[in-house]
Amino acid sequence: MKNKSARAEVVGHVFLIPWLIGFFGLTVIPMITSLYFSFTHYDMLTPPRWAGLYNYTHMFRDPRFLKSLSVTFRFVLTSVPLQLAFALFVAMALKKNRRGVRFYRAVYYLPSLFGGSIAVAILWRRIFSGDGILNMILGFFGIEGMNWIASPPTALNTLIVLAIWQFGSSMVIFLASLKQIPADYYEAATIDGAGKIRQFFNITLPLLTPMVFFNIVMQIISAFQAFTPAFIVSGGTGGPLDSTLLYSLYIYIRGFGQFQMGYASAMAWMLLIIIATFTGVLFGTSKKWVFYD
Amino acid sequence: MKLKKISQILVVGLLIFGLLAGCGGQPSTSPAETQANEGAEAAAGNEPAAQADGDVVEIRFAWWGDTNRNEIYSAICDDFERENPDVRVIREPAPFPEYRDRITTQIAGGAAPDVMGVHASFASDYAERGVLADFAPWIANGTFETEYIPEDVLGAGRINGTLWMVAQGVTFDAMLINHSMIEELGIYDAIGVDYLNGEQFTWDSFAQTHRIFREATQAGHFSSLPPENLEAFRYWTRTVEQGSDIYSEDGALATSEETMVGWFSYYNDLLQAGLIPDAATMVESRGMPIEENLFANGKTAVMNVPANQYRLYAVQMPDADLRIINYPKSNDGFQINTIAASHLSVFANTTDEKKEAAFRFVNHFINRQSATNLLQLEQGVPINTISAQELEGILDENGRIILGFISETMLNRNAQGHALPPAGASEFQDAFRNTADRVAFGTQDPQAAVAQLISETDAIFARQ
Amino acid sequence: MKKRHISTILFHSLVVLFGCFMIYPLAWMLSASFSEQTQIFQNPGLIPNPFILLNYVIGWSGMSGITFGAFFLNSFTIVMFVMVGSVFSSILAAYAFARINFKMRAVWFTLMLGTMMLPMHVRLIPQYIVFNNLGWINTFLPLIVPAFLGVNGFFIFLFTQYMRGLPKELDQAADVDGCGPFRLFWYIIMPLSVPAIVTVCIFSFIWTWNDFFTQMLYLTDMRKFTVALALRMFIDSQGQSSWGALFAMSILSLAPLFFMFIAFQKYLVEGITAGSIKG
Repeated sequence: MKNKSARAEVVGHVFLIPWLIGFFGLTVIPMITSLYFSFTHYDMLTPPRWAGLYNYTHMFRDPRFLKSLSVTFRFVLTSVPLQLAFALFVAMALKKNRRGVRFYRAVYYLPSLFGGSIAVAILWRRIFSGDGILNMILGFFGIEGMNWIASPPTALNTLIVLAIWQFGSSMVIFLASLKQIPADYYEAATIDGAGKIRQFFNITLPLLTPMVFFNIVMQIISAFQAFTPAFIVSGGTGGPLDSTLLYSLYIYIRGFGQFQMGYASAMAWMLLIIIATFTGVLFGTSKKWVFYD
Repeated sequence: MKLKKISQILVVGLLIFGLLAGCGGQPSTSPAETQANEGAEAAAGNEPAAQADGDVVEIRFAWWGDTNRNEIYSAICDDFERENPDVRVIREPAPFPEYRDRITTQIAGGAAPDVMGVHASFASDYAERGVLADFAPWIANGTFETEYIPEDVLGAGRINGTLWMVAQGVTFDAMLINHSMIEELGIYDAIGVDYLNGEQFTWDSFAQTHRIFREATQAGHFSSLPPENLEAFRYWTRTVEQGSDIYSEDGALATSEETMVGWFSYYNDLLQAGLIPDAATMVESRGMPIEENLFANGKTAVMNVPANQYRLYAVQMPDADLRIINYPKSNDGFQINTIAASHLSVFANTTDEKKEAAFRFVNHFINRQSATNLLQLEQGVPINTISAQELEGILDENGRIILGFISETMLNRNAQGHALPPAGASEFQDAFRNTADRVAFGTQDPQAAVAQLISETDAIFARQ
Repeated sequence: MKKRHISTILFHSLVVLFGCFMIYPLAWMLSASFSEQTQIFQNPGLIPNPFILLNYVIGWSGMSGITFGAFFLNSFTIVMFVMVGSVFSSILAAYAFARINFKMRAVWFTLMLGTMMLPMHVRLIPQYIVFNNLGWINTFLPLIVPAFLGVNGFFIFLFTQYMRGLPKELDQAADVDGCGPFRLFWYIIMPLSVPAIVTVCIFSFIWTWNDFFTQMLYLTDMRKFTVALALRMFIDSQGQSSWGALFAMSILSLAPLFFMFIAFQKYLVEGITAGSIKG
């Protein structure tokens, strides 16, 4: 038995070799360096000067930082659940191999192909601006619209819609794991007289939990770092009135825009702590609701 | 069965990438690419090849811009290489929004280009941190010729007495007017278009014109005055304060609280009266390309742009009769125009050999007629006065209009340089934009918004 | 029978209705790519008037004599390597994390997740310094090598979750048969992971294809430009943008992604049904 666990130790690391090389060769150095920068004043053009904890304490006196924090939390807590619910719903609808379903899947994946291209910014203006398509539709029903994309109360919502619209990757992951669920489970349930909804909650959802868990963790990690949508839609400003100032955008503005990479690095490490906390909590609770076979 | 299929896919995939890797290794064999100019060809070659012919100095030239500018700049590089066979110019174009980030990363990473385009928005951030090479010794030894460059223009690249960069061309911020629109509305006489470029065109009369336009059109907006636009605000400051600037030479804010309150109040009064587009429309237009904006789509009759962009609008609006005019004067008739430019600089920490070649290249770019003829008005009017005169003969209609306007402004409209924004200016710009937003969306009145701006600004410049 | 009919109609009409929202951007872009430059922003509809092909000709001609053919080749080269590299490195690491019980597992796994949590903008400069010291600037290596070394934790985590969903009895059965971890991985786990492999292929393909920023940073020579990078050069916020050419080439750029997705999704959803093994 002891022999076996020693062997597992070796075998485990053998499988990890490429990753370990990458970790120590390509990832650790930049991360440690940026940690060091976070304790300095660093304008990138001249050598960093030691600043102690200044950047970390300064953060909490910086109103734009606090604003970006609240914007980001709103963004993450709204876009992640909505996006995942939508992705799961669509994946369920497109799971069966009906006629045309392959084409539909591709169509629903389309928005994700656009990534953060400039075309998306133009499109979003066409849809959500004062004389955009959304207001045309609303006008049809006699509702007076507004400029959604550039008004402080609604600008962030258009970014949330954008995030939900690009739900393709979560959908694909759900599709792949839905197909893993053996058909005979459902057959048995049908014989027992369980309806579709009960089947979903008793069979599909529990068996899907590993991938639900994965999607939640990954979406939280990436939503906290969301940058491109705000960057292209607000023209890199985070405006109006900092209402779309996502955390990563603020890091970018401080770091590259204002030549304060030290401060930007400190904010980045603060974000790492925030994300790690969220992820840690998720992992902690996962034993209660994630079912591995 | 399935396994077989998968292994087939993998094998095919491996074959494809093996194939592609083979192709990728020999880029010069592709017929399409032999078309590429010789310089790029050479530049694409591997390092050893370059070292092999010993005497050739390689310099890297980075600029921002679109495909069109790439053609122009590449042609200038070719032109330079023809005259200087001992130098090879490696071309490194990048799109504008990411250009600064890449150069900064390259400098930090120890791989900066030798010659680079420098935009006014980060010029001092670079210059004051010792990134750029001083022109003085290279002017002294004759590598860079300044004989035909007006001192005012040269001064645009000077910070605290040192010449860090040289303008690629000169332009002025100006206003474009859609003449046909005004005529079609039948308010030509009411507005008196001719007066717009005359003595009486002041900030007050400009506001008045918005009212006339509004009465004639019921719902129209004469212009969409951008309150966050620092260039427009610079005109306001310099006319109202008669000569002072936004920043002082020693890197602080020079404009007064009163002037700023005046500016935001001027904007706010027009906004409250509904004479200019609402706050959201103003914010939205920030990220817009030219083709999407209100002016190009015939929604407003006036647009604030650098004069050399006249061509873009003339192309985009072929049916409209467009005119360029100078900014308004102060209400007591004081006029000033600020020389605007994008610059070229040489990287400070490169070998003397490369530096020499780099300055030779910059000199060629600025002072050689052949280069000027290629560049034309891409960056405004070329700064070598002799070349600029020669250029007139080969310009098209739009080009002559731009050249005429810039020359007239330069000579007769009190053209002056300005202090480059100090380090920390980009942070100030963000604060200024947020101030504009607070006024526009009505969360603060101009007085309170400016008070907040000033306290923020003091902190920004104190830190530098 | 009739009820089924109605539900089919309902299904299709709902899917199509929602699909319109999904497909609108593509339709608009397609229309723009066949429109005249000045019409693109002024024509509110989706039908180009007049209908022209010129944008494709201009777009394909690329810049400085380098056509889009070269940019496509560059993009394909990078993407192929990244795809293979991502699958290779991630599936190995994931097998260790999901199926092998060793002491350091939790530590490495936590660190792996941690590497995903630091925003990229503060890593850029140190990373650039590393690659510059290796002499890899202006080559494809900074874009490709990280994939082979599992730098994208997303894929590792994806495989890990997927493999943890595979039945544990497999290991015991393999043990009984005297089949070691390597053979178990190669003959059982890997074939069973086809849907996950396909997912990783799809994502790494699309993300790398669209990853403009890294490519912009490391590829400075025009001849090494990728499609995403070349597309960006059509636009100048302060100058003459070639929108027609941009949209025409964007359409061509989307085509490989779209067809790759259609081709691969077959394997994605028809992966070996685990049920036959489970049952």
